[in-house]
Amino acid sequence: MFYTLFGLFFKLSSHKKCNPAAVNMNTLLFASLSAFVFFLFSLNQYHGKVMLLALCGGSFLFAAFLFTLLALKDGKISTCWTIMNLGMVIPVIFSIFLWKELVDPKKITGLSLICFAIIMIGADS
Amino acid sequence: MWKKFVIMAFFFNGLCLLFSKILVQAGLGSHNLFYLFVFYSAGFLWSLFFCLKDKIVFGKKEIFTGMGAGISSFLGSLFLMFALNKVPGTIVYPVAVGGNLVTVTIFAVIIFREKIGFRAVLGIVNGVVGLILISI
Repeated sequence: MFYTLFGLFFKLSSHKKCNPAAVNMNTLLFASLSAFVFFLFSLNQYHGKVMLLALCGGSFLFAAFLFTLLALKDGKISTCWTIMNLGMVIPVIFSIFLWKELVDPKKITGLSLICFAIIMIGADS
Repeated sequence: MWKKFVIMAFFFNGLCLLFSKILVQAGLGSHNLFYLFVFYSAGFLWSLFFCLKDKIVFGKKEIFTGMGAGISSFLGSLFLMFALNKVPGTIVYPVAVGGNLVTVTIFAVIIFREKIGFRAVLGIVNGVVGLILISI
């Protein structure tokens, strides 16, 4: 539900012809501020390993946004957004092969249909 | 050249999603709020650096859409991490990412009056069937 809202705000920024780099920076700013407020009122504490993982994850997030912005200079927004979203197959592959999560034929069919759906939606836009 | 950039975006987005799974697998899922705070702050600092370097000027519309997108992205990631603590990643990621693209397309038609073709309709139907198959 919240990722849908996130996607809709990005659609809105595209409709309003906002500067993508500026929207990206403001998105990350408000996301970090929200996380900070929740963190202040939680029992979470500083943890070295968590910090290292988060720094790597956050840098990869920025790199993904940066390369999408660079790709958007010549490519279509729908194609770029779709291919970027298909990146979800990476953690799924790791879940199956590294963490040995069980997948039955029904789930493999479902996963394949979702990947196909992402490609079809991207191809249509 | 743009194809090379989009493939890089694909890999980096996948790696970024992978780190939340690594956190949960390492038994550190309870530190989700600290993780998300550092995660988004790191992204913001990189972004700020490049915006200052390129002298990017922006107005209220960028701030308001960024605010909406940022708060919903944070809440989405928080609930994704809650889900990863209880449900396998093979279910969580396709539902969160694939489902989101399907619903965004449907809402874009309703809210922004976007016109969609046969392939998008086929994609939505496939996505819904896929989500049902994964969920049951």
